Amino acid sequence: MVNPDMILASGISKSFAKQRVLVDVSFSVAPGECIQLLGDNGSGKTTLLRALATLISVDQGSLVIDGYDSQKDKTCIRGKIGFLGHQPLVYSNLTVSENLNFSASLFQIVNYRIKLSEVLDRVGLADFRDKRAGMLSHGLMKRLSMARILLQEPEILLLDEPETGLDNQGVSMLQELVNANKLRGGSTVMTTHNPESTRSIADRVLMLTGGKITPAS
Amino acid sequence: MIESLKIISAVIIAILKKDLLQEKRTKETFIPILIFGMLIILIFGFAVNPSPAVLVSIAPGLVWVVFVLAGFLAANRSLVIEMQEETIDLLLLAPVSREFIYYGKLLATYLLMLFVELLMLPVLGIFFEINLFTIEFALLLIIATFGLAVVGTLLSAISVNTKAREVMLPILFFPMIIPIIICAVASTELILGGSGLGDIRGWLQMLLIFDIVFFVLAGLCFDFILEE
Repeated sequence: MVNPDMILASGISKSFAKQRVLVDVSFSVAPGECIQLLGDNGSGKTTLLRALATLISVDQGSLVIDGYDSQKDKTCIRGKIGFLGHQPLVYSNLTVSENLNFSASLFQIVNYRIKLSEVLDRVGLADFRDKRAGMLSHGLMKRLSMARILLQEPEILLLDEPETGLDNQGVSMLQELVNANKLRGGSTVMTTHNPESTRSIADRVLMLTGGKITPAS
Repeated sequence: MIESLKIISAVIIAILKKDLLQEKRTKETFIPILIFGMLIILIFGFAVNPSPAVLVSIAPGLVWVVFVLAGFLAANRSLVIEMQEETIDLLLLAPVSREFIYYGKLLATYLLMLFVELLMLPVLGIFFEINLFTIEFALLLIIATFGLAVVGTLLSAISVNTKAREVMLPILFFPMIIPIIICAVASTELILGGSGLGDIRGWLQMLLIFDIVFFVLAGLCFDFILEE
């Protein structure tokens, strides 16, 4: 039977020490759908996104991503995910192009050298390709992270407050990234503190309150 | 199978090249451990100042004290540097089994350690009046340093998720490498006394067994160690 959902979370719970961060979280994301996940600080948004990215394991529940079980098939899941977290995940002493070359090797991206120039143009970093990443502003580092994801062309985007630190041009690039993913049939889960900036690309909104999912009003 | 091996080796080499490139640019690990190693040699050289007969008996231990302490600093940096750069998630997101990330890091640490040890060899020779430029010692250095790198890189991973890492890492590292120190010092004593490969074979075999066992265990544990 073909699973219609790209992401299927059932009864996910996670605690750190004795602090319950996620409590019986269940939701699904269809192919081509973009979910906006809202919640206050400490509501568990980042933890949920990191669980989806297999960066942390859950205590209870099941997580199936594109048909793969997150407990058994982590390697397969990681190949399908583009993760944009709070940290840009760039090496400050490597240049922009060296950072992308390394990511491409790590994620086994075929023919990335051909795509590299185009990707740098799309995120507005063509003039910075030989500049050390440590000399970039936070916003430009964020764009470098987007470039990493553009090279990957993942099926699932997991974006944790992606608009933070981006100017209007950067936010437009982010919207393009999500829309392009949707057109390819990919799914997106995006957390945000500023729902208005990304409301236009979201198909559905979920609230995370005290570690529990509720539909947004 | 061949395709999988290609992918695995590509990832390991990518991590190795990245680490070596970073080190070449910053020299954040290489310079401090070289200076530290040289300082230990100097301090021992001036503090001990024994007769030639006494020097011959304590030189093997001194050599490995220098290498172990310098090697500890190199191994410590291995994964801590990823934490400082806040890039550890990038490695954890890679679609490969995590032991291959460990192998890439291990290779980089191992090559760095060997390089620093090679630079310290002539200084050790001058201060302690010993000749370490022999095939037997080269073989010993290669095998023993690998063991130090295996243990050190693994423990560096443990310390990533530990608050008291400056304390935890030496507490864990030094007891675990005691077998390496015993075998290495005994072999060095024999080598400096003029013994050949045949005489140190038993010690080298023990070192090899240690290296293989810990190499396999470290690969198996690595994912578990880094998991939140």
